[in-house]
Amino acid sequence: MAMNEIDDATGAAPTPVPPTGDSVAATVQQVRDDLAARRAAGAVPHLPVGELDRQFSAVIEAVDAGIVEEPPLALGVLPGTAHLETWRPTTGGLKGLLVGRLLHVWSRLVGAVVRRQVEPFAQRSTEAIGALMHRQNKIQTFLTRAHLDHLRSLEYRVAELERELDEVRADRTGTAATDAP
Amino acid sequence: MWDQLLVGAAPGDAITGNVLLLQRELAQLGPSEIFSQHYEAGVQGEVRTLAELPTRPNRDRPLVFHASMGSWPVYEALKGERRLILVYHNFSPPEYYVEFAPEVAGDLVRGRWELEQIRDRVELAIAVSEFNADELRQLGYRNVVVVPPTPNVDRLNHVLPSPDMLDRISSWGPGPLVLCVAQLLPHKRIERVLAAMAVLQQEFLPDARLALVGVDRFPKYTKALHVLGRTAGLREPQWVGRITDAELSALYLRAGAFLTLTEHEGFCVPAVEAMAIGVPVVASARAALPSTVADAGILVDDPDDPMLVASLLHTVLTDDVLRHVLVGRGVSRAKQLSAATSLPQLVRAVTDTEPELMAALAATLGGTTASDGHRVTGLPAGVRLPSPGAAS
Repeated sequence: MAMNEIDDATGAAPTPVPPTGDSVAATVQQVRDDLAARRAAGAVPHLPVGELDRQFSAVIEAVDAGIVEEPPLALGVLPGTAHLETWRPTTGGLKGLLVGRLLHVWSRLVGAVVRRQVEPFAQRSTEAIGALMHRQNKIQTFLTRAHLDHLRSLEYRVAELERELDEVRADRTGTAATDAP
Repeated sequence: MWDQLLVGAAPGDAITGNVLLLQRELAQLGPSEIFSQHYEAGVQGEVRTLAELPTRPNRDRPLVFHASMGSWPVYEALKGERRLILVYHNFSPPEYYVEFAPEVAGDLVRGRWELEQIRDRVELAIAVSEFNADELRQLGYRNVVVVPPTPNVDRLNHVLPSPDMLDRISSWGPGPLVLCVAQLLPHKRIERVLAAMAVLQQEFLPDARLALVGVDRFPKYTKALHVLGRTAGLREPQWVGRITDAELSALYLRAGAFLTLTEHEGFCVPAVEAMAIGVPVVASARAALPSTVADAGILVDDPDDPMLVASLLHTVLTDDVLRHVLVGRGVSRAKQLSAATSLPQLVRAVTDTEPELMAALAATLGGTTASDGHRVTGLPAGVRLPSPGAAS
């Protein structure tokens, strides 16, 4: 049957079989060989079987334990320096207009003074909060990594103990067989 | 003439698309309705509720049931149906859901039980891949027919890429873009993708970026993925979420490679879409993917090895000759799997369950029909009418 025909027996489009000497297969094999050579030379670490699963299950446990929160604190959410509204008159009439204009000028003067006094303080507060958030994110990342490493080392230890247990069992079986009459 | 039932219908969903295409064909022969337990906005005009199933117009004909998940209400509704055609789109393995959504795991376990219970009323079992057919055979089904799904893979070729998305992609930097299109579901093993991309950035291509297109279904799984991405040192993964066809088209336009490292897949329509649009595919050699992708992509037999996947991705993204070969093969493979090829097969499989009806239709058409499955004017492609002699 040609490659592009539909298989009438099953109704399925046939799966093309790569021809011998297929260039894609050869390239893939080359990549595999290179990686194997790098691993043999110690340039790339060997990956223990199930390592990704172990890491991901540790992540899930960390999520369950509430150690990691998503998303981390973002510095961008910090507001800028406090904005002080200029006072505006609310009463109407000639008197109100006159008083209002005077008060408006006065409030601008007061506002300028207050702003000058408050701005460095607000700036320093913003910087301090930013630094705290940065530190908090670093600590959180560190704790997450430490927790994951701890879980992973425990899992390795369990696997090691299981292997030792198997060896002891195998030894006992061998001894029992030798001792049998 | 034939009605269809599915558990959930949503715009952009591959199974819903399949159902709508089949309805369009079957409607040429007579009234044809779609029923669904759940449906989202965007398809409600085309789908009727499960409660309306007992009043369906074609009660004397088999109901085409698209199985993708267990559902007690659907199972109960099926008790009123004597004749069924089963289209099996695959159930995800429940073990992946125990951790994240036990109720879904329960649905999946029960789904298999439900398939066993309805088996005696199923006149025809259609599996969308040989992998799925094997699962049905394990459930005791015999005479299972394999008909690939009918992905409308050409639709993205007819959509103008979204300019906003193109701008957004440009803002991700000049590096190659690797695209993963999959719902964020545990059995899709998105963690493998994140790990491989982290290695790709750290060992080979620091500017490479990953875009993940897919709806977030389980917050705990998604959260764990975000944490893994951070702890693995993955730079700027783009969690794109649900998008329009125009946005997806823009992503495919800029993608250097399509990556899926799923553990379980009944067919994988996104891989076919990627091939159709000329994006090289790197996929895990798992479940139905080897038969879907075949020699038109790179199949990774050890997707748990991020270094291996990253090395292969690096080669695909930088070796122009390899890319050229993969793109060419991918386009051909997508044509083999497109709706234009598979839809007539599906129509034929469904209509062949009613030989007497087809004979009557042949008689009505006055002997102008052929028995070899050739298209007859006014009939959907794939309909096989018996010769006039056979009608008597």
